[in-house]
Amino acid sequence: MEFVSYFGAVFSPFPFLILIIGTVGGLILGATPGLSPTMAVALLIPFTFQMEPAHGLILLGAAYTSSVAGGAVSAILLRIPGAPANIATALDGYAMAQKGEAAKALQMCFVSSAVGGVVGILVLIFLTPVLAAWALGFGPSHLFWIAILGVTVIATLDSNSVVKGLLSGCIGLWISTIGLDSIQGVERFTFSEHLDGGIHVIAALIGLFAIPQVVEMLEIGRNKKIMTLMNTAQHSVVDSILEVLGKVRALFIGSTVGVIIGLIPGAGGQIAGIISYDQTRKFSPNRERFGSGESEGVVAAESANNAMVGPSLVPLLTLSVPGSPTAAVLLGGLLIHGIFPGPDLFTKHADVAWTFIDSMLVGQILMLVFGLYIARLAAKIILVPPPILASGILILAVFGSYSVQHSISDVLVMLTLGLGMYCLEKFGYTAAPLVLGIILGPIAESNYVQGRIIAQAGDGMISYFLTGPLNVTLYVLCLASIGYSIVMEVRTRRQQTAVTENEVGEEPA
Amino acid sequence: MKRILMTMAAALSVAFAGDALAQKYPDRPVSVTVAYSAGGATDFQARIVTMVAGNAQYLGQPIVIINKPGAGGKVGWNHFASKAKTDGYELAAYNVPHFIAQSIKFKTKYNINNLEPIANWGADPAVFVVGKDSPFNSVADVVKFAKANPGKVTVSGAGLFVGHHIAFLQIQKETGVKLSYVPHKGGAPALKSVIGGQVMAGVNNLSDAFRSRSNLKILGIADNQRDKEFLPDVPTFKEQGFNVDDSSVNFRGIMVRKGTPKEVIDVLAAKVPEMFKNARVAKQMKNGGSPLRVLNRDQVKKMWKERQAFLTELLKGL
Amino acid sequence: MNDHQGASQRLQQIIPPGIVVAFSLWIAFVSFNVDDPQPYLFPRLISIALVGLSVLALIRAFLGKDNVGEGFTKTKLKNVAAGVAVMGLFVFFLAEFLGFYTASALTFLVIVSLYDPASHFEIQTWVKRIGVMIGFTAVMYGLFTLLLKVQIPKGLLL
Repeated sequence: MEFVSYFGAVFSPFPFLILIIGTVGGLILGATPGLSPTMAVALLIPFTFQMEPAHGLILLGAAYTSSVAGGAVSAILLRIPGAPANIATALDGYAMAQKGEAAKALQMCFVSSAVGGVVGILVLIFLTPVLAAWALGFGPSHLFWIAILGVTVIATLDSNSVVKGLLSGCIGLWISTIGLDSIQGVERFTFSEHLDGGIHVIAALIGLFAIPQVVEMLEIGRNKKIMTLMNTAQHSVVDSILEVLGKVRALFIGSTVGVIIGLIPGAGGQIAGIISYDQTRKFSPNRERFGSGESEGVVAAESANNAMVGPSLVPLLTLSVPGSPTAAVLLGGLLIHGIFPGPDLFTKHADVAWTFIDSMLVGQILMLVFGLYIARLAAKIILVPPPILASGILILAVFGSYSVQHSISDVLVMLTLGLGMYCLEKFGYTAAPLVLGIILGPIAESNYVQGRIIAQAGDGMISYFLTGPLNVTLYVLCLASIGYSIVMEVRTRRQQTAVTENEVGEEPA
Repeated sequence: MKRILMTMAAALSVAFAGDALAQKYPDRPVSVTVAYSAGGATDFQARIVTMVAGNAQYLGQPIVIINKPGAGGKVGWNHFASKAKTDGYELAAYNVPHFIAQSIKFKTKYNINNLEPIANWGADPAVFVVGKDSPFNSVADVVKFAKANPGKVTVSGAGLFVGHHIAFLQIQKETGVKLSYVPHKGGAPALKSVIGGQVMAGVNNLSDAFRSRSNLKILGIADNQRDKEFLPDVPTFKEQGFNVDDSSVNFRGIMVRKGTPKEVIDVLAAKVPEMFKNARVAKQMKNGGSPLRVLNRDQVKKMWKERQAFLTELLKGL
Repeated sequence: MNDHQGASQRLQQIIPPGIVVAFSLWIAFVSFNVDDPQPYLFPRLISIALVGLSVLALIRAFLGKDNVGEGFTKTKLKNVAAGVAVMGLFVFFLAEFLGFYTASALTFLVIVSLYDPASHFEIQTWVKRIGVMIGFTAVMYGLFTLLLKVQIPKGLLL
C-alpha cells in the first residue's frame, strides 16, 4: 500500500497542472491521425529536460495514457483510427456515429477506457513482481503465433467474407516485407526509390483509412440535396457511465485481454483491442449486431486498449526491458533524469516511481473528465460540410504522414495505398486486416527468422514452433477463429438464401 | 523556375563564400538525422549531446533530431549520403563500426569517402553476457561447452554487421568455436532474449547491460581496457586470454556529407566537440549510463580509416 | 437488378482477385528464385498463402459467391474524378514544388470550391471559403510548425 502515500505529491499544484496539460495534450495528439502514442511521448521528452524527474514523468505518463484513448475520437467520428490500437474501436464506433449516436459512442469509449486503464494500473501496482518473470517467458515462436493470431482474428472479423479478409491480411503481410529487410538489409520488392525505406506503419494506417473516407465523401459530387448530414443526438453522461458499467462481460474480457497482451514484451499492444473485441463478440448474445453499431464492441475494444498501458510498463520498470516502442521511448525519458529502471527502482527512487504510477492512476480520471468534455465538442465535427471535412482530412493526412519521419516518400506511399484501398473497398475488401498485416508482419518475420536459427541450433523447426503448450494454444486459437467464422458465414448465407433452413447451422464450440 | 532560382542561389553563395559564410553560419536551426528509431541508444544520446546547441558559445541555433530508422541504419544513411543538402544545415549521426562494415559488405550509397566526420561524442564497448541462472561463469566456460557442442550456443545481438556482430565474429574467430548468432531488431530486444532465456548468451552494449546487471552475468568486455566507471570488476577478453580488441566498440558522432563548404566544416569542427564537453551534457550522459568519449575531427578521421582497414580484413570471405 | 447490370457486376468482382492471383504468382516466383534465400524465407511463407487464397477468391468470384460491396458506378466515378486528380496533383507535384503550406491551402480551396454547392457567383461564398482556408492553414501551422516543431518542406513559397 506504499503507493497511497505518494498521492499527495500528485495533487500538489504544479504536478497537477502538468498532469492536466499532459492529459489534454495527449488527447489532442492522440486524436490527430499520424500521431501515435509513441510519437506523442517522443515529442514531449525534450520538454521534460528542464523539469524535476517526477514532474517530467508525470507529463510523459499522462500523455501516454490519454493519447491511447484520444485515438478513439477520430476512429469513431471519421472511421480513421488515430493509432493502430484504435482499429477495433472504429468497427462499431463509426457505425454508432452514423446512426446519430456519436456522442454516446464517445462517452462510452472514454468511460470504458478509464475502467480498463485503472485495472491495468492496479495490475502494475500489485502484481508487477509476479508477472515480470512470466512475461519474459515469451520467445520467438510464441510471438510469431501471436502476430499470426492478430492477423487471422481481424481478417475473420471485419469482413463479410473470410476468404477476402484473409487475403487482405496476407497482402498486408506482404506489404510489410517491402523495402530493405531488417536483418540483412537486402532490397525486397522495391519498385521505386520511394520504397527503399519500406512502408511506414503510420503512413499506411493514415492512407488506408483516411483516403477512402475522403474519396467517399466526394462521391456525392456538387449536390445541394444531400448536404445535410446525420444529426447527433445529445446523450446523458450518467446514462453512458451506467450503461458501460452494466456491460460487465465486455469490461471483464477487455481488461483481461488488455492486461495479458500488454504484459508480453514485443507483442505490440495494438492487437489488444482486436482480440478483446473478437472474444467479446463470441461470448455475446448480441453477436449478430456487432459491426453495425453495438456499443458492447466499443466497450470491449477501448477497455482493452487502456488496460494494456499499465502492464506494458511491467517489464520496463522491473527488468529495464522495454516491452513496446512507447516503453522504449519512456525508458529514454527515465534515463535522461538518471533513473535506471530495474529491481532497485522502487527502493532507490521510490518517490519518483510511485509518483509516476499514481499520476497515471489520477490521469485516468482526468482523462475521463476531459474526454467527456471533448466528446461533446468533437461530436460536432460531423456537422462540418463534407467538402471542407474531406479536404481538411486530406491535408491533415499529408502533414501527419510527412511528420512521422520527415519523408516525402511516406506521403506518396500514403496516397497511393489510400487510392488503391478505395478501389478494393468497392469489392468488399476492408482496410483493417491489411493494416494489421502491415503492423504485425515485421513482428512475425523477425521472430520467424530468429526462431529458425534457434530451432536449428536446438531440436529443429517442428518441435520449436509446433510443440509446447503455449504454441499449441496459440495456433489452435488461430484455427478456431477461422473455423468459427466459416461456420458463421455459411450460416448467414443460408439464412439469406433459404428462410426455411434457418435453424440448421450447428452451434460452434 | 526552380532551376533559375537555384542557379541564382548558387551564384550568390559563391559570391558570398568564405568568411561571410562562416560568420553567418548557422542562422537557422540545424537538423541531425539519426538512422535509428526514437528511444534507441543512439537517438537518446544524440538528443542529450545536442541539447545545448542553442547556446551562443556553441552553434547559437537549436539542433532538431530527425529519425529515419530501418535495416540497421542503412535506410537513414543511404538517404543522407544521397539526398542531404551540403549547406551545413543537414547533419547526421554516425555509428562506427556499423556504417563502415555495411559499406564494405553491401552496395550502400555511403562509405567513409563520401562522408565527412565532425566530432565523436561517445564510445560504447560490447560486452558478452549470459542469463543470471546460466551455468557459464566465464568466457572459457562458454568456449568449452561450444567446443563439445558446435553451433549449439545461441548468441543474440542487434542485427548483422553492427558492433555486436563484429564482436561476435571476432570472438568466434579468436576462440575457434562455432556459435549461432541470432540477430535482433535492436540492443534492447536482444538483451530481453538473454534475460528471458530464449538464447544462451548475448553480445550487447555496455550501457544497457550495466542497467540490467542484476538479471545478467557480464562475462567480458570487448575493449582494450576495463571500464573503470561502470563495470570495474568485469575483465576484458584480453585478460581472459582471447585476443579480442576494441574494434567492435560502438563510436557515435556527428558527420556531414562530402561537398559541404570547408568554412562550414571548420565552424562545426571547432564548436561541436566543445558542445559535447559541456558540463550539463556530461552530467546527463553519466546519468544515462552512457560513456562519453569526445574526439575531434582529425582523431575521428584516423579512427574511420583504421576501422575500414580492419573490417575489410575481418569480413573477407564472409 | 437486371441481367445486364448483373453481368457487369460479376465481371467487376472478378477483376480484383484476378489481379491478386497474377501478383501473388509473381511474388512467389521472385521469392523462390533468389541466390540468397535468407531474406526471402518469410515472403516465401506469405506467397504460398497468397496464391492459395487468391485462387480461392477468384474461383468464388466466378461462381458468383462473395459478391459483397457495390462495385463502381458511373455517376460516382464521375463525381470523384476531379477531386482525386487534385489530390494527386497536390501530393505528387505541388506539395514539394510550392511548399506544403501554400500547396495545401490551394488544394483546400480548389476541392471545397469544386464540391461546395453554394453559388460561385456571390462574393459571400468566396469570403467564406477563403476564410475557412486561412483558418485551417493557420491551425495546421500552429500544430505542426509551432507545437510539434516539424520541419515542413518549403518550395518556392512557404
